[in-house]
Amino acid sequence: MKQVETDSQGKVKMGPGTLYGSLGRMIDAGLIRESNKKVDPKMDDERRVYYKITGLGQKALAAELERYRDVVAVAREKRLSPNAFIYGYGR
Amino acid sequence: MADEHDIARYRRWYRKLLRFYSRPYRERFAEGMEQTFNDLCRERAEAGDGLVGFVLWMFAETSAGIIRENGRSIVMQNKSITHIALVTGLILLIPLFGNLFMGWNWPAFAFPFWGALLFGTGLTYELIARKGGTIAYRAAVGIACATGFVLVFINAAAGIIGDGPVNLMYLGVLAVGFVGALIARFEARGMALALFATAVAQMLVPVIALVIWKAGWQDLLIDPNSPHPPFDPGIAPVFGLNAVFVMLFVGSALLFRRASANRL
Repeated sequence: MKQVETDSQGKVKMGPGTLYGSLGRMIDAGLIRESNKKVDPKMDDERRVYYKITGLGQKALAAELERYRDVVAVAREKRLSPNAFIYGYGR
Repeated sequence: MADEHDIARYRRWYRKLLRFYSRPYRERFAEGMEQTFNDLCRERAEAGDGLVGFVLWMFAETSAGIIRENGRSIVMQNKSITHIALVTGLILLIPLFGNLFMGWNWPAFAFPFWGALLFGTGLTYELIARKGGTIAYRAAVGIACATGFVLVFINAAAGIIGDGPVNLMYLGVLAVGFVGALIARFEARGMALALFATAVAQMLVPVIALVIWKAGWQDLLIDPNSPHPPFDPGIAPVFGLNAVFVMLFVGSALLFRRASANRL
């Protein structure tokens, strides 16, 4: 949760309701699974649960990143910017 | 010190809030959520930041999560009901085509009757199975529901012991299972006992019928106008067919027991 807040420069604030809901949906979709592997033994806590991305999760992540890249590429190609005028016909 | 008391109190309230999640969700995440809430409150208190606003935000955020998850669960439930209705409709197409093209003779009332029975069986399975969560529990519910359905089907179509009112005893068998499940509140351990009791009841039916036959109360065993003798087509086949149902109920009970052991 803290990582999300830091990465988004405080724009996204996540609580347990959102975090665990997302974890549940990702587990159900087979994108992540519980892992026994401990990331950092110094930081370890018996109660801490680790999750690992699955093969399907990696594919889904790659596809999603690709989609974002495509959207950005189209925006660059069309020289779109938030200040650009949009022309239309009326009356 | 004051913070410790406050955090303990907020944590108790948060635990109460988590009860609004569905049971399977609570079993998966409630402990972790409560711990996360506690850790975040401690960190904030140690940093000297105020707790009240933060706790209010956490409660609002988790309440939104509860609404979202429960809404999702309702949508999934409606999806299941639609699937059950669709499967029921597809199965009923078989006798409909049989009547239309193959000379079958299903009476009109049989369609709503079997439709309701199939749909009811599917819905019962869905409602009970989701309470368990483990594969063993779901399989146990599936076997129990399917066995109950086939028992009713065979009795309504032909009757297991002749064609007299004695077959109504099989409704008693299903009642034992149903009442047992209600008493057990669908908990795996109690469900195992309910299904063992159902198996015993199933086993007793042909024994009671045999006693009735030997006592000479023929009217209870067969319809007076029936051309079939009692225990048609014979005592051994009737007991054999009963044994199949008994084994299925026992199998379901063993799976429930396994599901209960897995949970401990």
